[in-house]
Amino acid sequence: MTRRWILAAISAALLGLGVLVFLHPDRMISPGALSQSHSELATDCFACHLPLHGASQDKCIACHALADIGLRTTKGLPLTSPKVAFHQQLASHDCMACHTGHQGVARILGKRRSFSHELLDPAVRGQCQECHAPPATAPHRGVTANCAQCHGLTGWKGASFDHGKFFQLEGPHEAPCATCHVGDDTSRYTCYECHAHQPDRIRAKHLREGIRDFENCARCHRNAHAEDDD
Amino acid sequence: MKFGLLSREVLPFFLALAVLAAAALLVDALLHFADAVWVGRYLGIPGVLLIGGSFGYSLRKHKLIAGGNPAGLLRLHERMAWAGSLLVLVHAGIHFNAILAWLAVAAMLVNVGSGLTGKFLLKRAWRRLGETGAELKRQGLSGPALEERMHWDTLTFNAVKQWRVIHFPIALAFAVLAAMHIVAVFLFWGWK
Repeated sequence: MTRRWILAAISAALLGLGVLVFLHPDRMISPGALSQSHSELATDCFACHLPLHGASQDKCIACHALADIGLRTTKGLPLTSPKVAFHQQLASHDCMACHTGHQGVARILGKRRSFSHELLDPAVRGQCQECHAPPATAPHRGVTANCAQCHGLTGWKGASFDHGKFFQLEGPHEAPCATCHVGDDTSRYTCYECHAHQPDRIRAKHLREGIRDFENCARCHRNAHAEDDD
Repeated sequence: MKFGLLSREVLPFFLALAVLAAAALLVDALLHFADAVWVGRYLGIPGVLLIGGSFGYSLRKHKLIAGGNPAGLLRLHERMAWAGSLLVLVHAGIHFNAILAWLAVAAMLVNVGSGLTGKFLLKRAWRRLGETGAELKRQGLSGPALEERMHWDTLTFNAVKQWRVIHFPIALAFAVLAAMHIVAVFLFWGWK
């Protein structure tokens, strides 16, 4: 008799829990709260999940049109502060590789893939200006392409520019940028205005050697010692 | 005598629970140390399989299967249920988010506690009954006189055996809650 009552009580409790699962799936079975923007979907699991297949990228894209990501809201309104629109250029579109809707899942998985330039379609990987506007800083003035000359794909910081590829800065040439790049404009340079490089002297010396095109000094002189490097 | 009771019954009971908790913490710490926390997500599967396998003893006890030595199956039941509970605890320690999963773990722990209680309580009652019977026999009692003197002890032992009345529904509640959790995972998780 006691056993029957205990079984009846436990069965009733389990039945109640079963009902709660359907009424409040967000609390009963959801692995953590959804992000603020998805909070209205908290009790509608199948808005994002396909039965037996987990969260579906097709369902993501149904709301987040690929062409609009980073540019417009899911309602088609322009973003007040647009982000870099790179999703359109990804080599593969696997939303869940980088994103998770539930906070609990984010805690478990922890290291979801964050953005990496390696995820971009190789055809557009080198077209930096498709996503990035050239900075208005002095070293970038006039630079239009070939960012990889100084920047790697892992981060903007840690840029390395080997000035020696163009002209070795040593001895008296280890001078402030503006000495040669007037007004910090790195798209141009001049070797004149220095006591050793007077235009008349340079002109006469080069003409004596039969050299008429001598305005781009670094084309031939890659350091202070060599008379002629190329 | 009191120390004997403590060392024979109480300490082993709490030690068994403490070892389970310590082992779960140790495995969890090792997973964190090895930067393999994600493994815990999948430990629920072997854990449930072990616990499920341990029910072989229950099936034998309820004569739903015929083969197997009950005493051996009971040892297997205890060990498999302990190991399975350990894996489920590590699995649960990784992510406590949904109430249903919480309840399943709580029911499992109650079940482990109930199992250990039964193990030590029954053992003690059985030994006490044997010791009393032997003592009375030494005093020259036998037959109806022995039965009369042991009447209350026998009743007590039978009452202790009723512990199974509690253990089975607790196990049932755990099984149902675990099944609901597993169904929810299969329904919503992306296995890739």
